[in-house]
Amino acid sequence: MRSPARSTRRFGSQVLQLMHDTGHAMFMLLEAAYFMRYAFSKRSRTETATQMFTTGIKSLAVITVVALFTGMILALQTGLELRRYGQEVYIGSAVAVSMIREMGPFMTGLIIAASVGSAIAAQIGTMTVSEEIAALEVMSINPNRFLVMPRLVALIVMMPLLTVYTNILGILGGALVGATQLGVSVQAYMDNATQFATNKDLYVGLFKAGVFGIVITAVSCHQGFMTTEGAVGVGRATRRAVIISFLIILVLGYVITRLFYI
Amino acid sequence: MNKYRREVSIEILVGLFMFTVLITLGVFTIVLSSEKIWKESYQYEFVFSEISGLREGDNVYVRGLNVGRVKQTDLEEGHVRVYVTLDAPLYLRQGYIIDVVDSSMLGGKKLKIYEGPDGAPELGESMTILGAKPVDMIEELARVIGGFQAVIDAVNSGKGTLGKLLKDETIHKNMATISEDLMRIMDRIESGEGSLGQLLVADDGQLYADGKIFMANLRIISQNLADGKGTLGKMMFSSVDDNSYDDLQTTLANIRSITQSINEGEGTLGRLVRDAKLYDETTLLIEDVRAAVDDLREASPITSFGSVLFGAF
Repeated sequence: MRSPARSTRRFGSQVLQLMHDTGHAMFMLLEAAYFMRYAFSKRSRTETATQMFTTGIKSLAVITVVALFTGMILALQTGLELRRYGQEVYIGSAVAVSMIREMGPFMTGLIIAASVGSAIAAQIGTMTVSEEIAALEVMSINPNRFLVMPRLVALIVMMPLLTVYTNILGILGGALVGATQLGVSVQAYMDNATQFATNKDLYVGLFKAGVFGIVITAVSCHQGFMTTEGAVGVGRATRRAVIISFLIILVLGYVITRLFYI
Repeated sequence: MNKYRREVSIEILVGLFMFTVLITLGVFTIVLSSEKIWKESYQYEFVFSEISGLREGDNVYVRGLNVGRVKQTDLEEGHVRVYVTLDAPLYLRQGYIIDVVDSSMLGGKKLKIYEGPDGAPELGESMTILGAKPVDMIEELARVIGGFQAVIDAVNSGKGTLGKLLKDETIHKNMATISEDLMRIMDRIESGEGSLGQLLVADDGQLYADGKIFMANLRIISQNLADGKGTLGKMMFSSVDDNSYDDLQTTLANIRSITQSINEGEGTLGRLVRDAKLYDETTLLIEDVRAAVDDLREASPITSFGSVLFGAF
């Protein structure tokens, strides 16, 4: 059984570690943001483009399926309830507003955190345990500029774009369910969808997506740099990167909604 | 070379993706803002005392047709100015009405424009267009409930017919008396008193049996009629070649001819009816016959006795 003094010391140590991690992640992020002006320089352009390709184009397949079915599920669930009152025509607005405000950025954030964030943590973690990061520093190559900055640019740019894609596919998925299952014509669905959703909803959603991109980059890169203990450590860093990203996305999603709508 | 081509193709793909999504985002923005870029639009200002929650982006309807949206709402000294963008020009006439109404049961508002009666003079372009004060459904509902409450209070305080019915002791007593009388009548009927009671209680099923027999007889009669049995049946259902109808018509014609002759005093019966002298003589004759019959009746026992007496010898 642990003594109270030992538990307190352990708790204090964890708090200090948390502060250290947050501070490290913030400095890393700020430094990467500072180097963003070199994102499309001759040295960094290829890496930035590759990261954008990995984040954007390679995620399209999984995002297509997830977005389409998210919209379909939203339409079906909402439509079945609205049908009781003969108001199923309102599924257009329900799906469009839900997708644009919350589900689009949220689903995109989760997919990118799980696929791209985990890959970033694993790659940088492997480089850390194999001392490639140390070698970069020896060669006076700043790892934040060389590794973090292209990923940060890629995620900040691609997350909102992927969110637009998710929104559109989700709304189309809802239209598909509305037309085939609920007897709501595509025209009526679209009229209703555009009637209630506003540009504010769209751009607040895109802002959220950008913030989620920054969070995923910061968490994943930081976990990669903090990796120790070889291959086991890489697995642990990957898992922690995904979990922490999920949690922060959830909390920030609420905070941003609260900030703009209440 | 291959590495260079790969890098270029990655950049092209990323650029293409970004370009496509940005164009889509632009279109999306235009669609959500409900702006019709290529179509001419018409701007109008309406002044309301209040707008009851009308917001930017709410629809504007003219004769039930969605023709535009509310672009802006400004709070000014003593009123609210509403700016709308319409797809078609608006021709307001005297007597126009511009209302803020509920867009659905679920909420939301819309602007409803009635242009004014046909033939009324058109408004000048420089005139300020005034909107009607919106009807607040919740306030209206509260007013209706208030009205109901007043009625209930009046009833509770015994005012009016309904109040008196509920509160007046005399009416209650009268009702109780009527109820008692009805109960008494029902008891008497149940115990078989009076005609109704006997009919309902003391009959022991005889009324039902009689009714059943009566109905059976009616059925037999109607069946016989339908089968053409009897005189009436033959008259009603016999075929044309049966000559009954012709016979009946001939008979009726004969009767009419006879009655006509009698009326005109022709023949014995006609003279009897028309000739007063003959009537008197006939009366005298009948009186004589009656006297003769009486004499005969009186003489009959004597004649019988004589016959028996002289018959023995």
